[in-house]
Amino acid sequence: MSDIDFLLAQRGKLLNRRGGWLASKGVFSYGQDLLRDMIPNKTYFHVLGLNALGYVPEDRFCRWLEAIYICMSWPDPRIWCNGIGALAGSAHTTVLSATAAGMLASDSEMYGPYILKQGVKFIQSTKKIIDQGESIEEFLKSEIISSGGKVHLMGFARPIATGDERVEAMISYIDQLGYEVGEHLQLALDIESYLIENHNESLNIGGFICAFMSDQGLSSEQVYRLFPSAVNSGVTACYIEQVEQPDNAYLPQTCEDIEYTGPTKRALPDAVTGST
Amino acid sequence: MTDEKKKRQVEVKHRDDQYAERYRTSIWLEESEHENPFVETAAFCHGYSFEELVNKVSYPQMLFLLLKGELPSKTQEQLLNKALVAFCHPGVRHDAVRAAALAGVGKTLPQNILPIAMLVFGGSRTGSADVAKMMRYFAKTKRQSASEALAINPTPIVLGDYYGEADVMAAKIAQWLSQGDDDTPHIDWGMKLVAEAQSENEKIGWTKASVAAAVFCDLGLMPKFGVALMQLLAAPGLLAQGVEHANKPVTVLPFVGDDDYEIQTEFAPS
Repeated sequence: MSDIDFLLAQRGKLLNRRGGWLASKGVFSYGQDLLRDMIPNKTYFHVLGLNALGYVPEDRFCRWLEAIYICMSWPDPRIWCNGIGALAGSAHTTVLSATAAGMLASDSEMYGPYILKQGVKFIQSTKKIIDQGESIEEFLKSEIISSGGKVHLMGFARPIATGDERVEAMISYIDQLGYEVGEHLQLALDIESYLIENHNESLNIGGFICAFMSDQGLSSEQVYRLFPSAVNSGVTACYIEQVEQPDNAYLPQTCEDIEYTGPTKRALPDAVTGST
Repeated sequence: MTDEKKKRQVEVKHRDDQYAERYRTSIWLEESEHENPFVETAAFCHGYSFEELVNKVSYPQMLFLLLKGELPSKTQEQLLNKALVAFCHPGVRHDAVRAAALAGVGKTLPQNILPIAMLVFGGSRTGSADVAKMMRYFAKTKRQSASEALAINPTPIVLGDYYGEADVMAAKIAQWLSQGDDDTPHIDWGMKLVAEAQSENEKIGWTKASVAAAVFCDLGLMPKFGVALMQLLAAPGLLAQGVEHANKPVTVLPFVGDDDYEIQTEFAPS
Protein backbone atom coordinates (compact mmCIF):
# COMPACT_ATOMS: atom_id res chain seq x y z
CA MET A 1 0.00 0.00 0.00
CA SER A 2 1.43 3.39 -0.98
CA ASP A 3 1.54 6.28 1.47
CA ILE A 4 -1.36 7.91 -0.33
CA ASP A 5 -3.42 4.71 -0.31
CA PHE A 6 -2.70 4.37 3.40
CA LEU A 7 -3.96 7.90 4.06
CA LEU A 8 -7.02 7.40 1.88
CA ALA A 9 -7.88 4.27 3.86
CA GLN A 10 -7.81 6.28 7.10
CA ARG A 11 -10.36 8.89 5.97
CA GLY A 12 -13.34 8.88 8.32
CA LYS A 13 -12.02 5.90 10.24
CA LEU A 14 -9.91 5.33 13.34
CA LEU A 15 -8.13 2.05 12.78
CA ASN A 16 -5.64 0.00 14.77
CA ARG A 17 -6.22 1.91 17.97
CA ARG A 18 -4.68 0.86 21.25
CA GLY A 19 -7.81 1.56 23.19
CA GLY A 20 -11.08 3.43 23.31
CA TRP A 21 -14.72 3.30 24.27
CA LEU A 22 -16.88 0.74 22.61
CA ALA A 23 -20.52 1.34 23.49
CA SER A 24 -22.05 -1.60 25.38
CA LYS A 25 -18.65 -3.32 25.59
CA GLY A 26 -16.61 -1.01 27.79
CA VAL A 27 -13.56 1.25 27.89
CA PHE A 28 -10.23 -0.31 27.03
CA SER A 29 -6.58 0.67 27.06
CA TYR A 30 -3.89 -1.70 25.82
CA GLY A 31 -6.26 -4.58 26.41
CA GLN A 32 -7.12 -3.57 29.97
CA ASP A 33 -10.78 -3.11 30.83
CA LEU A 34 -10.72 0.17 32.73
CA LEU A 35 -14.13 -0.16 34.30
CA ARG A 36 -14.12 -3.84 35.22
CA ASP A 37 -10.43 -4.53 35.91
CA MET A 38 -8.73 -1.26 36.78
CA ILE A 39 -11.30 0.50 38.96
CA PRO A 40 -11.67 -2.25 41.55
CA ASN A 41 -8.04 -3.33 41.57
CA LYS A 42 -5.75 -0.45 40.65
CA THR A 43 -5.07 3.23 41.32
CA TYR A 44 -5.05 6.29 39.09
CA PHE A 45 -1.28 6.00 38.86
CA HIS A 46 -1.58 2.49 37.45
CA VAL A 47 -3.78 3.94 34.70
CA LEU A 48 -1.38 6.84 34.19
CA GLY A 49 1.43 4.33 33.77
CA LEU A 50 -0.68 2.15 31.49
CA ASN A 51 -1.60 5.01 29.16
CA ALA A 52 1.96 6.35 29.06
CA LEU A 53 3.87 3.07 28.80
CA GLY A 54 1.41 0.61 27.31
CA TYR A 55 1.46 -1.79 30.23
CA VAL A 56 0.34 -1.79 33.85
CA PRO A 57 3.42 -1.10 35.98
CA GLU A 58 3.96 -3.03 39.20
CA ASP A 59 2.30 -1.66 42.33
CA ARG A 60 5.46 -0.33 43.97
CA PHE A 61 6.42 1.54 40.80
CA CYS A 62 3.04 3.29 40.86
CA ARG A 63 3.53 4.21 44.51
CA TRP A 64 6.95 5.58 43.58
CA LEU A 65 5.39 7.53 40.71
CA GLU A 66 2.77 9.02 43.01
CA ALA A 67 5.49 10.06 45.45
CA ILE A 68 7.39 11.82 42.67
CA TYR A 69 4.23 13.69 41.71
CA ILE A 70 4.12 14.94 45.29
CA CYS A 71 7.77 16.01 44.97
CA MET A 72 7.07 17.93 41.75
CA SER A 73 4.03 19.85 42.93
CA TRP A 74 4.49 22.40 45.67
CA PRO A 75 2.07 25.16 46.69
CA ASP A 76 4.68 27.92 46.45
CA PRO A 77 4.12 30.67 43.87
CA ARG A 78 7.81 31.55 43.76
CA ILE A 79 8.29 28.51 41.55
CA TRP A 80 7.78 29.65 37.97
CA CYS A 81 4.88 27.42 36.97
CA ASN A 82 3.12 28.09 40.26
CA GLY A 83 3.63 31.82 39.82
CA ILE A 84 1.65 31.53 36.62
CA GLY A 85 -1.09 29.81 38.57
CA ALA A 86 -1.07 32.70 41.04
CA LEU A 87 -1.17 35.30 38.26
CA ALA A 88 -4.05 33.42 36.68
CA GLY A 89 -5.78 33.54 40.05
CA SER A 90 -5.10 37.26 40.22
CA ALA A 91 -6.60 37.61 36.74
CA HIS A 92 -9.59 35.45 37.75
CA THR A 93 -9.25 32.86 35.02
CA THR A 94 -10.89 29.50 35.55
CA VAL A 95 -9.01 27.01 37.67
CA LEU A 96 -8.51 24.82 34.63
CA SER A 97 -7.00 27.62 32.53
CA ALA A 98 -4.71 28.45 35.42
CA THR A 99 -3.61 24.88 35.95
CA ALA A 100 -3.13 24.20 32.25
CA ALA A 101 -1.10 27.40 31.90
CA GLY A 102 1.12 26.40 34.83
CA MET A 103 1.59 22.92 33.45
CA LEU A 104 2.61 24.39 30.10
CA ALA A 105 5.12 26.60 31.85
CA SER A 106 6.73 23.50 33.31
CA ASP A 107 7.50 22.32 29.77
CA SER A 108 10.75 24.14 30.30
CA GLU A 109 14.41 23.80 29.43
CA MET A 110 15.31 24.80 33.00
CA TYR A 111 13.07 22.72 35.27
CA GLY A 112 10.09 20.38 35.22
CA PRO A 113 9.26 17.35 33.08
CA TYR A 114 10.84 18.47 29.80
CA ILE A 115 14.38 18.35 31.13
CA LEU A 116 13.91 14.73 32.17
CA LYS A 117 14.42 13.77 28.54
CA GLN A 118 17.92 15.21 28.56
CA GLY A 119 18.53 13.86 32.06
CA VAL A 120 17.82 10.27 31.03
CA LYS A 121 20.06 10.63 27.99
CA PHE A 122 22.80 12.09 30.15
CA ILE A 123 22.86 9.36 32.80
CA GLN A 124 22.52 6.56 30.27
CA SER A 125 25.24 7.89 27.98
CA THR A 126 27.51 8.66 30.95
CA LYS A 127 27.10 5.11 32.20
CA LYS A 128 28.25 3.79 28.84
CA ILE A 129 31.33 6.03 29.00
CA ILE A 130 32.16 4.95 32.53
CA ASP A 131 31.55 1.29 31.66
CA GLN A 132 34.11 1.68 28.89
CA GLY A 133 36.74 2.56 31.45
CA GLU A 134 36.81 6.33 31.89
CA SER A 135 36.87 7.36 35.52
CA ILE A 136 34.02 9.42 36.91
CA GLU A 137 36.49 12.08 38.00
CA GLU A 138 38.11 12.37 34.57
CA PHE A 139 34.73 12.50 32.90
CA LEU A 140 33.34 15.16 35.21
CA LYS A 141 36.45 17.32 35.04
CA SER A 142 36.24 17.33 31.28
CA GLU A 143 32.49 18.09 31.27
CA ILE A 144 32.87 20.92 33.75
CA ILE A 145 35.83 22.45 31.91
CA SER A 146 33.81 22.42 28.69
CA SER A 147 31.04 24.31 30.54
CA GLY A 148 33.41 27.07 31.59
CA GLY A 149 33.98 25.63 35.05
CA LYS A 150 30.28 25.48 35.93
CA VAL A 151 28.28 22.39 36.78
CA HIS A 152 25.90 22.14 33.83
CA LEU A 153 25.13 18.46 34.12
CA MET A 154 21.52 17.50 33.50
CA GLY A 155 20.11 16.21 36.77
CA PHE A 156 22.65 17.87 39.03
CA ALA A 157 22.53 21.27 40.76
CA ARG A 158 19.27 23.25 40.68
CA PRO A 159 18.12 26.87 40.44
CA ILE A 160 17.62 29.01 43.55
CA ALA A 161 19.19 26.61 46.04
CA THR A 162 21.96 24.09 46.42
CA GLY A 163 20.92 20.65 47.60
CA ASP A 164 17.55 19.04 47.05
CA GLU A 165 15.64 17.70 50.04
CA ARG A 166 13.39 15.62 47.78
CA VAL A 167 16.26 13.30 46.86
CA GLU A 168 16.79 12.35 50.48
CA ALA A 169 13.08 11.66 50.93
CA MET A 170 12.90 9.57 47.78
CA ILE A 171 16.02 7.55 48.57
CA SER A 172 14.38 6.60 51.84
CA TYR A 173 11.15 5.81 50.06
CA ILE A 174 12.63 3.48 47.44
CA ASP A 175 14.27 1.61 50.28
CA GLN A 176 10.85 1.30 51.91
CA LEU A 177 9.38 0.08 48.62
CA GLY A 178 12.02 -2.64 48.43
CA TYR A 179 14.02 -1.28 45.52
CA GLU A 180 17.76 -1.82 45.40
CA VAL A 181 20.01 0.99 44.21
CA GLY A 182 20.49 0.20 40.54
CA GLU A 183 23.54 0.88 38.41
CA HIS A 184 22.31 4.22 37.07
CA LEU A 185 21.27 5.51 40.48
CA GLN A 186 24.58 4.37 41.96
CA LEU A 187 26.39 6.25 39.20
CA ALA A 188 24.30 9.34 39.95
CA LEU A 189 25.22 9.09 43.62
CA ASP A 190 28.89 8.62 42.74
CA ILE A 191 28.76 11.70 40.51
CA GLU A 192 27.08 13.54 43.35
CA SER A 193 29.87 12.60 45.77
CA TYR A 194 32.42 14.19 43.46
CA LEU A 195 30.28 17.29 42.96
CA ILE A 196 29.64 17.75 46.68
CA GLU A 197 33.32 17.50 47.44
CA ASN A 198 34.53 19.72 44.62
CA HIS A 199 31.71 22.05 43.62
CA ASN A 200 29.15 22.12 46.45
CA GLU A 201 26.52 20.80 44.05
CA SER A 202 24.43 17.66 44.30
CA LEU A 203 21.88 15.39 42.66
CA ASN A 204 18.51 17.06 42.07
CA ILE A 205 15.12 15.40 41.95
CA GLY A 206 15.15 15.34 38.16
CA GLY A 207 18.48 13.55 38.14
CA PHE A 208 17.17 11.10 40.72
CA ILE A 209 14.10 10.38 38.59
CA CYS A 210 16.20 9.89 35.47
CA ALA A 211 18.65 7.52 37.16
CA PHE A 212 15.92 5.52 38.88
CA MET A 213 13.83 5.30 35.72
CA SER A 214 16.90 4.22 33.74
CA ASP A 215 17.34 1.40 36.22
CA GLN A 216 13.76 0.39 35.44
CA GLY A 217 14.69 0.15 31.76
CA LEU A 218 12.75 3.18 30.57
CA SER A 219 13.77 5.46 27.70
CA SER A 220 13.93 9.24 27.80
CA GLU A 221 10.66 9.59 25.88
CA GLN A 222 8.87 7.11 28.15
CA VAL A 223 10.02 9.05 31.20
CA TYR A 224 8.81 12.36 29.75
CA ARG A 225 5.44 10.81 28.93
CA LEU A 226 4.92 9.84 32.57
CA PHE A 227 5.06 13.43 33.83
CA PRO A 228 3.06 15.85 31.66
CA SER A 229 0.87 16.91 34.57
CA ALA A 230 3.40 16.55 37.37
CA VAL A 231 3.15 20.14 38.62
CA ASN A 232 -0.60 20.51 38.33
CA SER A 233 -1.61 20.27 41.96
CA GLY A 234 0.81 22.94 43.15
CA VAL A 235 -0.34 25.28 40.41
CA THR A 236 -3.95 24.74 41.40
CA ALA A 237 -3.10 25.47 45.03
CA CYS A 238 -1.43 28.75 44.08
CA TYR A 239 -4.35 29.70 41.86
CA ILE A 240 -6.90 29.03 44.60
CA GLU A 241 -4.97 30.96 47.19
CA GLN A 242 -4.70 33.99 44.91
CA VAL A 243 -8.19 33.99 43.42
CA GLU A 244 -9.55 34.30 46.94
CA GLN A 245 -7.39 37.34 47.73
CA PRO A 246 -8.44 40.98 47.13
CA ASP A 247 -8.08 42.18 43.53
CA ASN A 248 -4.60 43.06 42.29
CA ALA A 249 -3.01 41.83 45.50
CA TYR A 250 -0.43 39.52 43.91
CA LEU A 251 2.89 41.40 44.11
CA PRO A 252 1.26 44.70 43.07
CA GLN A 253 3.38 47.14 41.06
CA THR A 254 3.01 50.90 40.80
CA CYS A 255 4.06 52.52 37.53
CA GLU A 256 7.33 53.56 39.15
CA ASP A 257 8.10 50.04 40.25
CA ILE A 258 8.99 49.18 36.66
CA GLU A 259 12.50 50.13 35.61
CA TYR A 260 12.29 51.42 32.05
CA THR A 261 15.56 51.09 30.15
CA GLY A 262 14.45 51.93 26.61
CA PRO A 263 14.87 55.03 24.47
CA THR A 264 13.90 58.40 25.85
CA LYS A 265 10.66 59.91 24.65
CA ARG A 266 10.78 60.77 20.97
CA ALA A 267 8.50 61.99 18.19
CA LEU A 268 7.39 59.75 15.38
CA PRO A 269 9.47 60.20 12.21
CA ASP A 270 8.08 62.48 9.50
CA ALA A 271 7.68 59.51 7.18
CA VAL A 272 5.15 58.07 9.60
CA THR A 273 3.31 61.25 10.49
CA GLY A 274 3.16 62.37 6.86
CA SER A 275 4.97 65.66 7.61
CA THR A 276 7.32 67.02 4.94
CA MET B 1 20.73 1.38 50.81
CA THR B 2 20.82 2.39 54.44
CA ASP B 3 24.60 2.87 54.26
CA GLU B 4 24.17 4.99 51.17
CA LYS B 5 21.62 7.13 52.92
CA LYS B 6 23.97 7.71 55.82
CA LYS B 7 26.76 8.73 53.48
CA ARG B 8 24.80 11.53 51.82
CA GLN B 9 25.29 14.84 53.52
CA VAL B 10 23.55 17.43 51.44
CA GLU B 11 22.55 20.70 52.94
CA VAL B 12 19.78 22.64 51.24
CA LYS B 13 20.69 26.32 51.12
CA HIS B 14 19.58 29.31 49.09
CA ARG B 15 22.20 30.34 46.57
CA ASP B 16 23.71 33.78 46.77
CA ASP B 17 22.17 34.72 43.43
CA GLN B 18 21.45 38.41 43.14
CA TYR B 19 17.92 38.87 41.86
CA ALA B 20 16.72 42.10 40.31
CA GLU B 21 14.90 44.36 42.70
CA ARG B 22 12.55 45.62 40.01
CA TYR B 23 11.09 44.36 36.75
CA ARG B 24 13.09 45.88 33.94
CA THR B 25 12.00 46.54 30.35
CA SER B 26 13.18 48.55 27.39
CA ILE B 27 9.87 48.19 25.58
CA TRP B 28 7.13 49.90 27.50
CA LEU B 29 7.00 52.87 29.82
CA GLU B 30 3.98 53.75 31.92
CA GLU B 31 3.65 57.01 33.77
CA SER B 32 1.15 58.05 36.37
CA GLU B 33 -0.04 61.54 37.14
CA HIS B 34 -2.93 60.06 39.04
CA GLU B 35 -3.19 60.28 42.79
CA ASN B 36 -3.24 56.49 42.71
CA PRO B 37 0.26 55.41 41.60
CA PHE B 38 -1.09 52.14 40.26
CA VAL B 39 -3.16 53.91 37.57
CA GLU B 40 -1.19 54.83 34.47
CA THR B 41 -2.13 58.00 32.62
CA ALA B 42 0.39 57.83 29.77
CA ALA B 43 2.28 55.09 28.00
CA PHE B 44 5.22 54.96 25.59
CA CYS B 45 6.54 52.16 23.40
CA HIS B 46 10.27 52.38 22.75
CA GLY B 47 9.99 56.11 23.39
CA TYR B 48 6.97 56.80 21.15
CA SER B 49 3.75 58.04 22.66
CA PHE B 50 1.16 55.28 22.75
CA GLU B 51 -1.48 57.83 21.75
CA GLU B 52 0.49 58.80 18.66
CA LEU B 53 1.10 55.19 17.75
CA VAL B 54 -2.58 54.35 18.03
CA ASN B 55 -3.46 57.22 15.74
CA LYS B 56 -0.65 57.12 13.22
CA VAL B 57 0.95 53.72 12.70
CA SER B 58 -0.26 50.52 11.07
CA TYR B 59 -0.41 47.19 12.84
CA PRO B 60 2.68 45.87 11.00
CA GLN B 61 4.60 48.99 12.03
CA MET B 62 3.55 48.52 15.65
CA LEU B 63 4.40 44.83 15.64
CA PHE B 64 7.83 45.53 14.15
CA LEU B 65 8.46 48.27 16.72
CA LEU B 66 7.63 45.90 19.56
CA LEU B 67 9.95 43.20 18.28
CA LYS B 68 12.83 45.31 16.99
CA GLY B 69 12.66 48.50 18.99
CA GLU B 70 12.54 50.68 15.89
CA LEU B 71 9.90 51.39 13.29
CA PRO B 72 10.29 49.47 10.02
CA SER B 73 11.37 50.92 6.71
CA LYS B 74 8.65 51.11 4.08
CA THR B 75 9.97 47.92 2.49
CA GLN B 76 10.06 46.09 5.80
CA GLU B 77 6.54 47.24 6.62
CA GLN B 78 5.27 45.98 3.28
CA LEU B 79 7.01 42.65 3.71
CA LEU B 80 5.68 42.18 7.23
CA ASN B 81 2.22 43.18 6.09
CA LYS B 82 2.35 40.54 3.35
CA ALA B 83 3.63 37.95 5.85
CA LEU B 84 0.77 38.77 8.22
CA VAL B 85 -1.65 37.94 5.43
CA ALA B 86 0.31 35.00 4.03
CA PHE B 87 0.46 33.15 7.34
CA CYS B 88 -2.88 34.22 8.85
CA HIS B 89 -4.50 30.85 8.14
CA PRO B 90 -2.62 27.54 8.31
CA GLY B 91 -5.14 25.85 6.01
CA VAL B 92 -8.51 24.38 6.82
CA ARG B 93 -7.18 20.81 7.18
CA HIS B 94 -4.32 21.76 9.48
CA ASP B 95 -4.35 19.96 12.84
CA ALA B 96 -4.43 23.32 14.65
CA VAL B 97 -7.50 24.47 12.74
CA ARG B 98 -9.21 21.18 13.42
CA ALA B 99 -8.32 21.53 17.10
CA ALA B 100 -9.84 25.02 17.09
CA ALA B 101 -13.05 23.74 15.50
CA LEU B 102 -13.21 20.79 17.89
CA ALA B 103 -12.82 23.12 20.87
CA GLY B 104 -15.46 25.47 19.49
CA VAL B 105 -18.00 22.76 18.83
CA GLY B 106 -17.15 21.13 22.15
CA LYS B 107 -18.27 24.39 23.78
CA THR B 108 -14.86 24.91 25.29
CA LEU B 109 -14.83 28.24 27.07
CA PRO B 110 -14.13 30.88 24.42
CA GLN B 111 -11.02 32.17 26.17
CA ASN B 112 -9.45 28.74 25.75
CA ILE B 113 -10.12 28.17 22.05
CA LEU B 114 -7.31 30.27 20.61
CA PRO B 115 -4.65 29.13 23.10
CA ILE B 116 -5.58 25.50 22.40
CA ALA B 117 -5.24 25.97 18.66
CA MET B 118 -2.02 27.93 18.97
CA LEU B 119 -0.52 25.20 21.12
CA VAL B 120 -1.28 22.61 18.48
CA PHE B 121 0.17 24.98 15.90
CA GLY B 122 3.34 24.92 17.99
CA GLY B 123 4.11 21.39 16.83
CA SER B 124 7.18 20.52 14.81
CA ARG B 125 5.28 18.91 11.94
CA THR B 126 3.69 21.66 9.80
CA GLY B 127 3.76 24.01 12.79
CA SER B 128 6.00 26.64 14.26
CA ALA B 129 8.23 24.65 16.66
CA ASP B 130 11.30 24.63 14.43
CA VAL B 131 11.14 28.17 13.06
CA ALA B 132 13.94 29.42 15.30
CA LYS B 133 16.21 26.55 14.25
CA MET B 134 15.34 27.28 10.64
CA MET B 135 16.18 30.97 11.09
CA ARG B 136 19.56 30.00 12.53
CA TYR B 137 20.14 27.72 9.57
CA PHE B 138 19.42 30.51 7.09
CA ALA B 139 21.55 33.00 8.99
CA LYS B 140 24.49 30.62 9.22
CA THR B 141 24.29 29.01 5.79
CA LYS B 142 23.25 31.79 3.45
CA ARG B 143 26.87 32.78 2.87
CA GLN B 144 27.39 29.49 1.07
CA SER B 145 26.06 28.61 -2.35
CA ALA B 146 23.03 26.35 -2.39
CA SER B 147 25.09 23.46 -3.74
CA GLU B 148 27.76 23.94 -1.07
CA ALA B 149 25.11 24.02 1.63
CA LEU B 150 23.54 20.80 0.37
CA ALA B 151 26.91 19.11 0.05
CA ILE B 152 27.53 19.80 3.75
CA ASN B 153 24.01 18.92 4.83
CA PRO B 154 21.82 17.18 2.24
CA THR B 155 18.74 17.26 4.49
CA PRO B 156 18.64 20.71 6.07
CA ILE B 157 15.86 21.51 8.50
CA VAL B 158 14.38 24.08 6.10
CA LEU B 159 13.47 21.44 3.51
CA GLY B 160 10.69 18.92 3.90
CA ASP B 161 7.80 17.16 2.30
CA TYR B 162 4.06 17.58 2.62
CA TYR B 163 1.96 14.43 2.29
CA GLY B 164 4.99 12.90 0.61
CA GLU B 165 5.29 15.69 -1.97
CA ALA B 166 6.86 19.12 -2.23
CA ASP B 167 4.50 21.64 -0.59
CA VAL B 168 3.08 23.55 -3.54
CA MET B 169 1.38 26.20 -1.43
CA ALA B 170 4.51 26.86 0.62
CA ALA B 171 6.45 27.40 -2.61
CA LYS B 172 3.78 29.78 -3.88
CA ILE B 173 3.86 31.78 -0.64
CA ALA B 174 7.64 32.08 -0.95
CA GLN B 175 7.19 33.34 -4.48
CA TRP B 176 4.53 35.84 -3.41
CA LEU B 177 6.72 37.17 -0.63
CA SER B 178 9.90 37.42 -2.67
CA GLN B 179 10.83 40.99 -3.45
CA GLY B 180 14.22 40.37 -5.00
CA ASP B 181 17.65 39.72 -3.59
CA ASP B 182 18.05 43.18 -2.08
CA ASP B 183 14.96 43.10 0.10
CA THR B 184 14.32 39.40 0.65
CA PRO B 185 17.75 37.79 0.43
CA HIS B 186 16.90 34.83 2.65
CA ILE B 187 13.77 33.91 0.70
CA ASP B 188 15.65 34.23 -2.55
CA TRP B 189 18.56 32.16 -1.28
CA GLY B 190 16.02 29.61 -0.06
CA MET B 191 14.55 29.41 -3.54
CA LYS B 192 17.97 28.55 -4.91
CA LEU B 193 18.38 25.92 -2.20
CA VAL B 194 14.99 24.40 -3.03
CA ALA B 195 15.75 24.37 -6.75
CA GLU B 196 19.10 22.69 -6.13
CA ALA B 197 17.56 20.12 -3.79
CA GLN B 198 14.70 19.38 -6.18
CA SER B 199 17.16 18.60 -8.95
CA GLU B 200 17.92 15.48 -6.88
CA ASN B 201 14.53 14.91 -5.25
CA GLU B 202 11.45 16.69 -6.55
CA LYS B 203 9.37 15.57 -3.58
CA ILE B 204 11.00 17.92 -1.10
CA GLY B 205 10.94 21.68 -0.95
CA TRP B 206 9.87 24.63 1.14
CA THR B 207 7.76 24.07 4.21
CA LYS B 208 5.43 26.83 5.36
CA ALA B 209 7.53 27.15 8.51
CA SER B 210 10.72 27.52 6.52
CA VAL B 211 9.16 30.25 4.39
CA ALA B 212 8.15 32.05 7.57
CA ALA B 213 11.68 31.61 8.92
CA ALA B 214 13.18 33.11 5.78
CA VAL B 215 10.82 36.08 5.94
CA PHE B 216 11.60 36.67 9.58
CA CYS B 217 15.31 36.65 8.71
CA ASP B 218 14.67 39.15 5.93
CA LEU B 219 12.91 41.36 8.47
CA GLY B 220 16.01 41.23 10.64
CA LEU B 221 14.21 39.54 13.52
CA MET B 222 16.07 37.45 16.05
CA PRO B 223 15.45 33.68 15.98
CA LYS B 224 14.13 33.71 19.54
CA PHE B 225 10.99 35.45 18.25
CA GLY B 226 10.41 33.01 15.40
CA VAL B 227 8.39 30.21 16.97
CA ALA B 228 5.88 32.37 18.79
CA LEU B 229 5.68 34.94 16.00
CA MET B 230 4.52 32.30 13.54
CA GLN B 231 1.91 31.23 16.10
CA LEU B 232 0.80 34.84 16.39
CA LEU B 233 0.54 35.20 12.64
CA ALA B 234 -1.69 32.11 12.45
CA ALA B 235 -3.96 33.31 15.23
CA PRO B 236 -6.61 35.08 13.09
CA GLY B 237 -7.34 31.96 11.05
CA LEU B 238 -7.38 29.76 14.12
CA LEU B 239 -9.72 32.17 15.87
CA ALA B 240 -12.10 32.39 12.92
CA GLN B 241 -12.24 28.62 12.43
CA GLY B 242 -12.58 27.95 16.12
CA VAL B 243 -15.51 30.26 16.55
CA GLU B 244 -17.23 29.44 13.25
CA HIS B 245 -19.18 26.53 14.68
CA ALA B 246 -19.14 27.48 18.35
CA ASN B 247 -22.57 27.21 19.97
CA LYS B 248 -23.76 24.81 17.28
CA PRO B 249 -24.74 21.21 18.09
CA VAL B 250 -21.89 18.71 18.22
CA THR B 251 -23.50 17.01 15.24
CA VAL B 252 -22.16 19.81 13.04
CA LEU B 253 -18.85 17.91 12.92
CA PRO B 254 -18.39 14.35 11.68
CA PHE B 255 -18.20 11.68 14.37
CA VAL B 256 -16.50 8.33 13.86
CA GLY B 257 -19.02 5.61 14.67
CA ASP B 258 -18.16 2.30 16.32
CA ASP B 259 -18.23 0.55 12.96
CA ASP B 260 -15.30 2.71 11.84
CA TYR B 261 -13.48 2.52 15.16
CA GLU B 262 -11.19 -0.45 15.36
CA ILE B 263 -9.06 -1.57 18.28
CA GLN B 264 -5.99 -3.61 17.36
CA THR B 265 -6.55 -7.33 17.68
CA GLU B 266 -3.79 -7.47 20.27
CA PHE B 267 -5.68 -5.04 22.50
CA ALA B 268 -9.26 -5.85 21.52
CA PRO B 269 -11.76 -6.86 24.19
CA SER B 270 -12.60 -10.52 24.14
